[in-house]
Amino acid sequence: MEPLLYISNLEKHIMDDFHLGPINLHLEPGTITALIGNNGSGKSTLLKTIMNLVKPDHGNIKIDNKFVHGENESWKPLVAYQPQTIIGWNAFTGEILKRLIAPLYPNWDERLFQKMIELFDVPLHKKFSKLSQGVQQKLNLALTVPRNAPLLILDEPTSFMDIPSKKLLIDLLVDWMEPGNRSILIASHQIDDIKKLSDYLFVLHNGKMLGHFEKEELTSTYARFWLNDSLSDTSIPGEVSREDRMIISDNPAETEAFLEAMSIKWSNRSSLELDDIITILLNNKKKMGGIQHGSHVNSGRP
Amino acid sequence: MSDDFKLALQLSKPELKVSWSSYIGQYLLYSLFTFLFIQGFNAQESRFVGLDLFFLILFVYGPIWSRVKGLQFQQISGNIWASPTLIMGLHLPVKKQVIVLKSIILYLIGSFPFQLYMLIMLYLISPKVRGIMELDAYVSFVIIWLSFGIYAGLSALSADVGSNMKRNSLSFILSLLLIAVIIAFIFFMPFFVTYGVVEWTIILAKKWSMASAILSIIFAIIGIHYWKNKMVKLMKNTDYL
Repeated sequence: MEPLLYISNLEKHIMDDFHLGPINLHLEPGTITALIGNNGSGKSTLLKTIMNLVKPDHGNIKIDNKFVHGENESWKPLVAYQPQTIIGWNAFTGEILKRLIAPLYPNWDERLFQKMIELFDVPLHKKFSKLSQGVQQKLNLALTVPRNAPLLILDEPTSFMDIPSKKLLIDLLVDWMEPGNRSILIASHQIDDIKKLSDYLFVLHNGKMLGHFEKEELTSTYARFWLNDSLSDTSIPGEVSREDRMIISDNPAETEAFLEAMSIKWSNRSSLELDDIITILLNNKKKMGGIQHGSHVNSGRP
Repeated sequence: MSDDFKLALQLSKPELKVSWSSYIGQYLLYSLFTFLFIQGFNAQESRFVGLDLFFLILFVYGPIWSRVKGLQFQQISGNIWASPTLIMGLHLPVKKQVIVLKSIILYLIGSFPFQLYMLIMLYLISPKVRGIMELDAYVSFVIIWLSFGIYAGLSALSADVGSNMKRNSLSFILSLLLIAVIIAFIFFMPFFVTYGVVEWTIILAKKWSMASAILSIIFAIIGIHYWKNKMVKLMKNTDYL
């Protein structure tokens, strides 16, 4: 299947102190990918580069097989982008913004828009600048999701939202994905968004790609072992973290085989929560290959 | 009407709708300048060089001064300053040419009628102006300045696309020097070439009415195309981080 979004060897140097890439990423229809990373890892820059707001130094981006950074701008209706910081909306009311945006998208879903406005209780007659940050974010989403573009790009969509609204949004996005030909790329620090929504995780650290992982496989890859006795400085295969008698491994089978071979006893073995795994990935700043999952996942290896 | 132009008009509507208060402000501003210029023409024998300076400033910067809050040039990120609605357009499925066309349409709507109003009022109210120029010469004078407002005024609009405001001390000093040189040139121009900018345009309008008007219209048309292409090119090369 042709990827909806194709990024190949993308690199961008910004000022003197930040280098994004090289980034390789393929997104296929029917998938939700969470873009995660530490603050300043380049998530928003990557999304802006996909939107042709930032020009890459190297590499290519294609949306539905159309080059983004060329003269032809016919890829634009295929993407709905919700930026983290909304610029240019302050002078307008929600009603005016809807009348501006809706006609630009042939598949605009008016019913979904009205539903979101009602669910999130957004006043359409108020100027955008007069709304609270949370309501601004809700209006922004209500004006982005109903565009029904094949690729939906969300940059920190829930950072100012209350808990019930976050849940509503997650349900809405799950419903929105039902047709099966759409894809979401969502940058988020909210672990609930990542856990409940994403099929894949694309991890960045300080501009570098750590990997593109299938979420379920990633969680099954890590395990925590509680050993009966303290260890010496013995190096254990798969070990990524050690704390007294507890070790975390990203290769439990190999770790277990080693422990058995060395007659090291353990009292318990458990899997890790996704947020623990993400913390380990980011803290170790370890350049890992993505876990292969058919053709769905790119390797993080150069 | 081309599809691009239709779409640009469609995109202009929300900005027009929220800009009514700025248009009232424009009307008051140009009325004030009409009064000022009448005084300026009356004092022309004593070389009122402020007339030249204000005429130039008004026709170049007047239209972008009185935008409503929310549409004004603002810091986008880091050192980049741009028009916020231009950035909004970049997030939507709209070609860069259409975004620029929309900016030009809004610029012309916010400048041309008010400048025309001011120039008409100047002729109707001031016996001095009517004494200087016959009607045909004044029509030519009006065309010269309205065209100037387009080909020179659009240069100010081009900053909407995104300007890097990072300044080191050298570029800051050079910018100040450039402004000082331009102002000095306008002030001292009458001493070198006998007349000031406005007087020269009066001479052109009186001596070569038709030629001046036609040339000005040609410059205005070239100016629109030049600045449109320049703005699209700038957009292609700017990183909106």
